[in-house]
Formats: sequence, structure tokens, C-alpha cells
Amino acid sequence: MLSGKIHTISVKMIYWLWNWFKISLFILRVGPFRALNRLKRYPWLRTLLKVNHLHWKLTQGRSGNYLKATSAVLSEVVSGVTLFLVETFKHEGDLVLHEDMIPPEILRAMGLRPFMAELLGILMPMIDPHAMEEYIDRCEAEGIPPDLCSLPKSTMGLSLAGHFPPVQAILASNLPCDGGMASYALLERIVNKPIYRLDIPYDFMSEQAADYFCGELENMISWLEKNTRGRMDWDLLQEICVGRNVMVEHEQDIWDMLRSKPAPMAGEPVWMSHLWSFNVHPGTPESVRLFRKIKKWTEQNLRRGIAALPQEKFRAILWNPPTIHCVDIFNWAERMYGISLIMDSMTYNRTPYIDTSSHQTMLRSLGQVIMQGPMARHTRGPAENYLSDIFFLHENFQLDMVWVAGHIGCKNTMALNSILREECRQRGIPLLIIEYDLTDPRVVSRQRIIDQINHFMESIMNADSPPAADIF
Amino acid sequence: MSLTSGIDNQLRDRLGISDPYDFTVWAKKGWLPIGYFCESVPVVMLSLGKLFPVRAHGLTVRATDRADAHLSQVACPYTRSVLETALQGDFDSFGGYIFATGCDHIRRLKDVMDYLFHPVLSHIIDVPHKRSEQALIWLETQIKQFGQILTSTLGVDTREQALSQAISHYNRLCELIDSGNALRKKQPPLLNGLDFQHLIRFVKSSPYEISLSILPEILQEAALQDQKMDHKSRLMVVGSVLDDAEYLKLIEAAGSVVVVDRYCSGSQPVFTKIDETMAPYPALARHVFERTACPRMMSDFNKRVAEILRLSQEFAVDGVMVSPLKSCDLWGVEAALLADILKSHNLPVLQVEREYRLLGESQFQTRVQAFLEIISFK
Repeated sequence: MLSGKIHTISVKMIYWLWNWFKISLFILRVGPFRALNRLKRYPWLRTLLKVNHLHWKLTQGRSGNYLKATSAVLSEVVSGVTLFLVETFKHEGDLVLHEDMIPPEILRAMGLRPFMAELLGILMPMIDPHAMEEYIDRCEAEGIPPDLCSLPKSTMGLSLAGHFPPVQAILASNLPCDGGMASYALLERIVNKPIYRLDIPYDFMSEQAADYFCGELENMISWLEKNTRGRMDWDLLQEICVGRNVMVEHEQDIWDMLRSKPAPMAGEPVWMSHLWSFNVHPGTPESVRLFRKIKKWTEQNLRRGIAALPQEKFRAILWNPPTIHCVDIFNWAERMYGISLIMDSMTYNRTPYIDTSSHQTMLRSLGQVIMQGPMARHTRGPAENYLSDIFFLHENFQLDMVWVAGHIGCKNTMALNSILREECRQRGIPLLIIEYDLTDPRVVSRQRIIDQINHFMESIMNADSPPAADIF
Repeated sequence: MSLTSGIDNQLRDRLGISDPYDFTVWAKKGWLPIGYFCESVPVVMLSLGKLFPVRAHGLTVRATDRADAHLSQVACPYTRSVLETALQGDFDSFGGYIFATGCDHIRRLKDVMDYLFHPVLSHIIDVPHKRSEQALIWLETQIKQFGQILTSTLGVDTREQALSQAISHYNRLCELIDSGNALRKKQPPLLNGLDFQHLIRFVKSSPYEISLSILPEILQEAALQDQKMDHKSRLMVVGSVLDDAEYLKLIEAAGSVVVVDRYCSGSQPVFTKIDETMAPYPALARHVFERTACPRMMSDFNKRVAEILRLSQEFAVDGVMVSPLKSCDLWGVEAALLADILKSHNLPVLQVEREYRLLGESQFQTRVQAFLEIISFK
């Protein structure tokens, strides 16, 4: 027991210190004067440099390989953030502002530096729940309706405040929703740089849709070559895609192992690893290494009969984007109720591999990854996609319940809640729809989110109430 | 002169119909109404054979309690109102529903209506969000596929010849609507916004054949009437769905006249002619892009601004009311941008978000009156 505790503490401390070391490298790589200058110019930098706070938040109560996997994921996020900042401040001439659904693989293969416009709105509230409030308010003060999703409001607010770095060009699309798409009309005017918009078909299952969107990606590449310094290196794209495929292989193996009860892995090693590595740094050696390690630890746990949660009582999936400003909600739920988060909708997908045999097949596969990716497939696609995936996971991963992060700014998914409720009722699947706002904690506070979970767990799942001191 | 009484009289006299907007009347006469919810639908396809397109509205409901439970209260009030209307059985005579990938709300309306009603015909046309040659090819294929579905489900002839004829009738209708708009250009206008809205609502609720038989006389009567319309200012209304006539009544009662209805349930640019020199299916695909002023066309913001400025000149507009529906993300962002740009062109702008049905009448009235006063000072 004591050696276990010592091991846990030492793993945490080592990763925590290692993370701070990586953050301090950022200052060395960018240069102290430039770093200071950027700290003044971009107030959000102060929040991002606190990314190591996630380490303590999300490793609470974890031990063994689960702790190592969580720490490794968070460490990769820290590395990624540091790299993102270095690229942003050292290579401003090569930056391309892109919407979060645009594949960074293509941008990297063209020697461009992607600056995902929504990254700050997603990452900052994880570190500081109140980080986006000033940007949301700024956006609403310009006449943008308050009921718009808070993520595009955050992004527009950043732009209105002049807190985006200078970029060469903008890439946008019609994903994931009207609000996201519309926000780029404002971004275009503020940033005042050439913009290319990808059109992703709704009817994405057909070969024709694949052709159409492949054509869109080809046009995007030509446009980037005309409007930026970027030049497509197909060999590099292949290298990135091969790396991505290896990540996918490892991930699919992990998913197979998650079907065991109790789960040998759960939580952030499942969802945050995917969210970060596939959307921000797909195919990089670091991302491949991360997935290899998570798979190794998962295999070890499975072989030794060790569960991620020693007292796994419930297994759940989380549907819709995670509760960003309350990112430790599953860590809390693990400790309070023994709930393992097995999968989430941002992770689960059905067309993961990229055919790297030719330029055309690579683009086509990347196109299918985007078209059938979570936000396109579920948030924007027909209801049957949303429902069929949830029930597939329920059947195949031995789930006890389904949780939906019911972001009230997401009109797409709010409109599906009634169908989902009815279908879950017919199947006898306990369903919790957490009402909250994605990036604005003022709408529904952390305590109210927790209250909703407590009521559900006690009333529906007949779970024992956690001790009063632990319910916050 | 109130045009509505002209339409009522015409219909009573010629067709024995007391309510010109009751599309079930036509169903009893052998026509088959097909409901649609977005102007990105290739509406001419719905006028083939004995079909006629009906732009679904929710004007027979006030509260949307049941629809709110299905679609949620954050959904567009138009979609909630039409769902409530469907739940109360008012759409039971529809032969089917056609949707377009207009916006999030319309897509989800389809999902919920399919789930609740299992209609025999329910189809969504995937309309691209930008114009390009590839997008046109994609859209043309979508429309052809839809034609095949119409044939297989309802036995409608969707071959090119039949479509060409339908296009010809539609273009004739557009010419008539244009002549109505020409009356609104005049100083003073010979048709007010309310009357014109009734006219458009009638056209969108009845077979085109009927509209074609009645409109010429009605418009001729309007052209010849010599009653001068008393008004202080000429307005353009820009925005999303505006079905409730009470809004226009209120706006015009304050002393203005609405001379341009640039909202999707209006006439601009919905009634744009289709190119008859092209093959019908490609022409129809092009037309889908031409007849929409919706911000869903993500690359066309500058084009929409230019068109508003052009129309403001052509119709000698004194001010623009930018009026999106609540919960409409597309128009919400567009309205904020438009207001600033139009003001920079010295056009007075009132930006006012609204519900589908007129609610908060006195607040809305106050804002309109204040806006008209601002215009009068200029």
C-alpha cells in the first residue's frame, strides 16, 4: 500500500516537473523578450502557460497504469501547447487560421503552421473555467445574439479583441454547425485576409460525396499554393497519414480492450488523447508514441486483471463535446460513484484509416474522415447517425448508462434530445442529459452540473450518495 | 386599397373558395399539396403534374408547447410553430414533405417529423453552401435523384419536357410577381407591404395554375387604382422567415410602407426566373442558388450586401429593417455585420430580433416608431 502511494506520488511529481520544464523551454525557444512581448499582447497566453494545472485536476484518485496513461496524455497536451506557441510566435509569416474541422494534416504537409481558431476556446476553459467570459461578452456587445453557441462566440470575441496573431490566410467550412460557419463571416472581416471555405456535403455516404469533397480538398490545396507560401509535399503528407494510421491501429486495439469489464483503461487516456492528438497533432512521432504507450499500459492492465478503476461500478459513454469548463467531471464521477468513462462521441468514429497508396486516395480518405467525423456525422448529420452510434456502443461496450453533455447553445443536438430520450426509454437505457453551456460557466455553474449528476445517480441508478464532504 | 379583398373576391367569384390560404381546398379538387420549409428547395419540381408546393407556415398556432418538447425551446420558432401545426393535424393532407439542408433547424425538423409521422414522402435535398461548378454538378445530381423519388413514390412525370413546361409556368408567375413589385417601386407605391405579403402567401399556398389565372387581373386592378398611399417613409425588410402579417401591419400602421420584402417567405429574390435557354435540370440547380438570400451561402456575404444596396436604390428605400428570427444563428451573425455596413452607406438601419408570431407588440412598435422618427430627421 505504502509503496503504491509512493509510486503514485512520484509519478505525479515527475510528470508535473517534466511539464514545467517543457513550458520553460517555450521561453527559451521563443526568446525571453519576445515571450514577454507576447504575454502583453496576448493575455490568453497567461492562461495557456498554466496548462500544467490540468495535471493535478485530472490525475486525482488515479494510480498505476491509469495514472501513467493520464499523465502521459496531459504531458503530451503540454508539449503540444508549447509547440503550438513556439510555432505561433516564431513563424507568424506561415500561420494559417483554420476552423477546427479542417484537417491539419494537409496544412502541415504544405509546410504551413496551423492556428486552430477554436483551440483557445476549447483549451482555455479547461485550465481556467472563466477564461472565455470576457471574449463572450465582447462578442455579444457587438450585437451577436447571446443564444449562439459559446465556442464561436469565444472565437469571434478573440478576433474582435485583436487577440489572434497575424495570419496569412483563413480556412473555414460549413462544419460543424450554422453558428460555427457563420462566425467566419465576422472573422473574415476582422482578420481581413484571403479566405477559403470548404463545403462538406450532408449526404456524405455516397461515392459521389467522396468525389465532391475530394475535389474540394484539391481546390483548397491549389488555393493555398496561390495565396500562401505553402507548397504541397505529397511524401510528407503520406508520412503524416502513415503515422496517423498507426495511431488509429493502436486506438482500435485499445477500444477492443475497453469492451472488457472492468475496463483496463478509461477517461482522459481514451478521450483527451484522441481529441488532442488526432485534431491538433495527427501523425506526428510524439502522437504515435503516446498511443503506443497507452496501448501498452492498457494491455498490461488487461493481462494482469487490473481495472482502471479498482471499484468500477458503472460504465458510461459521454455524447457531445466534453464539458470543457468542468473538464474534471469524470474524474470526480470516478471517485464519487465508480463510473468509468469508456468512450465519447468526439473519439468514436467509423472510417479511421487513410489509404496512402496515392495522392488521390489520401485526399479521398482524409475527406471521408472529415465527412464522417464526429461533428459532421452526429452534430450535422441525420438523426440515425447520432442514435445508431450510441446504441452500437451501448451494445458492444457493456454500458450501464449514456450521458449527454447537453450544451444549450447546440441547437442541433438539443433538437435530438426528445428522440434520444424516447429511444433510450424503449430500450431501458438510463440516460442523463446534463444541461450546461460549453464554455461559459455563468449559464450553468459547476455545482449545478454536479447536482444534475447526483440526482441522476441517486434517483435512476440507485447509487449510494457520496459523503457530504465530497459532493462538491 | 387593400389587395386582400381583391383576392378574396376573385376566389369567391371564380372558384367558390372563402379562405384563399386553405390549401386543403385544392386537395379536394384533385391537387396534391407537398409541404416545404425552406426556399433552397427546387420548388418548381413540386409543381409537376398535379402537385403543388405549399410553403408550410405555423400561423394557426400561438403556443408551441408540444413542439418545444420535441425540438427544444432553443430551436427556431418557425420550425417549432410548423411542428406544432403538424402535431395538430393541419398538414395531414400533404402528400409529403421536402426539405433542404438549409440550416440546422430545418435538418432537425426533418428528423423529428420523420420520427413522429413516418410520412410516405420525406426527402432532404443536400444543397451546397457555396457556388462553384462542382457544387452545381452535385446539386443537379441531388435534384435528379429527387425527381426519381417523386416518380417512384407519387408517379409524377419528371422528364425534361415536363420540367421545361413547369419552368415556363413558373417564369410566367415570376413575371407577374415582378409586375407587382414594379407597383411598389412607384412614388407613392400602389401596393403596400401587407397586401403584397398576402399575395405572396396566397401564391405559396395554391397551385401555380390558379395563381396564374388570378394574378393578372388583381395586379391590373392595383395598377389602375388611383388611391394615394399616405406614408412617411419607404422601408426594406431583410431577414429570415416572416409569415405573420401582424408585423407588417404594425410597421405600416406606424406610417411607413414596406416596398421590398427581402426575407425568405417574401418575394425577393425567391421569385427569380429560371433560365429557359439551358437544359432544365442544370438550370434548376443554378436557380436554387439564385433564389436564396440566406446567409447559409457562406461565401456570398458581399453579394448579399451589394444586392441590398442595389434594391435600396431601385426602390428608393429610406431605411432598412434587419429582422432575424430568434435562435437563427445564420441571421444572428449576418444581422450584426449588415447593420454596420449598411449604416456606413448612409442607410438608416433598425436591427431587431423577433419571434415567429408577433409578441411584445408594444416594444416592437416603440422600436419601429423610434426608427421612423430617426429616418424623418434625416
